[in-house]
Amino acid sequence: MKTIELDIVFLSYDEPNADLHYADLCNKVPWAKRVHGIKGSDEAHKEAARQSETDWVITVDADNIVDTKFFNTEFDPDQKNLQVVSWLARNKINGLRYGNGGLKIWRKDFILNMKTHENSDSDRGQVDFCWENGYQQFKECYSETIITGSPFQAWRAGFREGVKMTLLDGVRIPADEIKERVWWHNLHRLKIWSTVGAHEENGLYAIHGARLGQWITNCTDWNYVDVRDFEILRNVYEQNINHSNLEHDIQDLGYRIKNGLGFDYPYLDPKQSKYTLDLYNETINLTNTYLK
Amino acid sequence: MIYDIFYVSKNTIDDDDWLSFNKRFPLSQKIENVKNFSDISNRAFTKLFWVVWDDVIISDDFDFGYIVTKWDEKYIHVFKNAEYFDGVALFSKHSSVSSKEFEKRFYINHKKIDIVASKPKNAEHYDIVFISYNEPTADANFINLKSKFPRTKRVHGIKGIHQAHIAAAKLAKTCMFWVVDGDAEIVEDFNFDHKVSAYEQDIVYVWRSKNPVNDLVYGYGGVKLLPTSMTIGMDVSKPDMTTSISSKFRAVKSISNITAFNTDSFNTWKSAFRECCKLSSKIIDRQKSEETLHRLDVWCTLGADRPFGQDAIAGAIAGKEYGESNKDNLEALKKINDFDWLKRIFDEQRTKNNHT
Repeated sequence: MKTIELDIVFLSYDEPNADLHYADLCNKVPWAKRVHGIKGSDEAHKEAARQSETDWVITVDADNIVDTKFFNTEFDPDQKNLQVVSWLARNKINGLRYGNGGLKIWRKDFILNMKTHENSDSDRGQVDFCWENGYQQFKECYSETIITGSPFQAWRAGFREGVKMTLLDGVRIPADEIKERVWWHNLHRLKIWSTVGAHEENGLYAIHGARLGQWITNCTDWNYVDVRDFEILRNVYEQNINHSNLEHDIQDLGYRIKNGLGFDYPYLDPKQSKYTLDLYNETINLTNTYLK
Repeated sequence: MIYDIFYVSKNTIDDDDWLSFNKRFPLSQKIENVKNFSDISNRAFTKLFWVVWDDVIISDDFDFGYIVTKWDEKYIHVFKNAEYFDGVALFSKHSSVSSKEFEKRFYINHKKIDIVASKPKNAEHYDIVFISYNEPTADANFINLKSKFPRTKRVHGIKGIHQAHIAAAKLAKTCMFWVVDGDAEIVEDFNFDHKVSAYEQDIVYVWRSKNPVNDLVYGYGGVKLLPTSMTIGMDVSKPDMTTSISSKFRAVKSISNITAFNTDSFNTWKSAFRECCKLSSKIIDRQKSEETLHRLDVWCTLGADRPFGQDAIAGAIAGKEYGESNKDNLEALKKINDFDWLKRIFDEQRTKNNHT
């Protein structure tokens, strides 16, 4: 089935660049629908499913700019037990390419019946979606996530990943077991989120968020399940951000993480950050060249 | 002409239109009751072929002689239909076109060719519907509008904002229609001549209006251009009418009218109450907080020296309070569209003020 045959729903809540990104999507696919301002990720996705007139629905997160090549792709909806298909997204500030914020195609019935985030009845589903076996991840990347529309947007994106990347199947484990038990891909992502970004406007906020997220989750008694609640995150942000002392606070979090979790993150200034990002992108491109 | 030309319609084609087209392009073929792209592509013998919808008129100087280079054959070439690229298109026989693309005449793999190949056949403008209830200046405003734009129709006295707009949509014969409120005085240079492309006919367009009491300029009371069928099928359970029609909204940054709502005490109070209730309860999707707070502040403080300015400020303050205290009570918020209820509240407040 061609993806272009499916309904497309843009999901926004309070992202400062949402209107701009939705306009961009409508320029590419004028019939794209929009769900806006619904509290709770589970409920927002359910509304997207309700708006969809096709059995499968594409969701586009508000921080995404979609590559039109995506609409020429195909997927096989008849695969046994398939519920969700996901593509990689490239994070503009740190170059990471993974499922975070990526384009997804959902079986409509699955969304309407799932219980995740605020509607979850399991430990794992409290902070993320649970796809179990019905999940297919493609390695292609068809969108770019831009999370730097405001200091808070950048911080929240970093914080959420900082929390989630240290969890094992959505559940906190003892801090001294993280290095051994958490999947190395997630630790790699944590490393990048915690260091690269100073070269972009608001990029330092993403780094601060990532560092605070992993530290507060694993070195304090903060209830990490609250990571799904954007209003609580706003309070955490306001209590922990000192705009005039951001660089110092990032480095201070670095010391605390080193002591508490054993990760040793350097502080990269804007030039070093940009250099690291360019090198990272080149390495991925180079690898792709060899693989081809 | 080296490519096949198909003159197509989703319905039956008018005989005169076809004879006229075929006389000019004798090798063209007509296809009626087209349901999907393959209904056309299956009939093509050339590697590329032209599609001409029966709702366009081909430009005098367009002769279908355009040649596509080998390396561009993968693109669907779209030509200007007056302003937009939703008319004549040149397809490869191997093009893949989804039902959504075909329906909207918007193709993902397109290449825009800056040649005006056609213009819409229905060059007349969208219908205008004037909606009035009991606004004191409605008759005069309607006469003015009708004299300048004779195609204007009128819906009068229908209770409920949503129902009045549904009735207006049912009067309209065009795919989009203009809505002018009963208290709107159209500005001199606004001509109701905006056209919408075939792929943007699911958007609610709202022009700006000037508020004569507090000089605010934004979409409140502005002229609207609405999608007809979506308006007929709107969700009547939501308090705000425009966002009930479509999730897509476009604020047009030019002024269409003055919203002369300050014609008597009640109507002025009512308009201010409704607007400030909507602003303070944030029932309008995608409101921007700072902008909303600024507008509320202006409504509640400025214009006391203007005609019925005191009533506007009183209505604004009452509406703001009502909206804030009922922001999570949808049933209470829906009452602002009931003018009899508003009159009762207004009378109660007036009686209370007279006693104090």
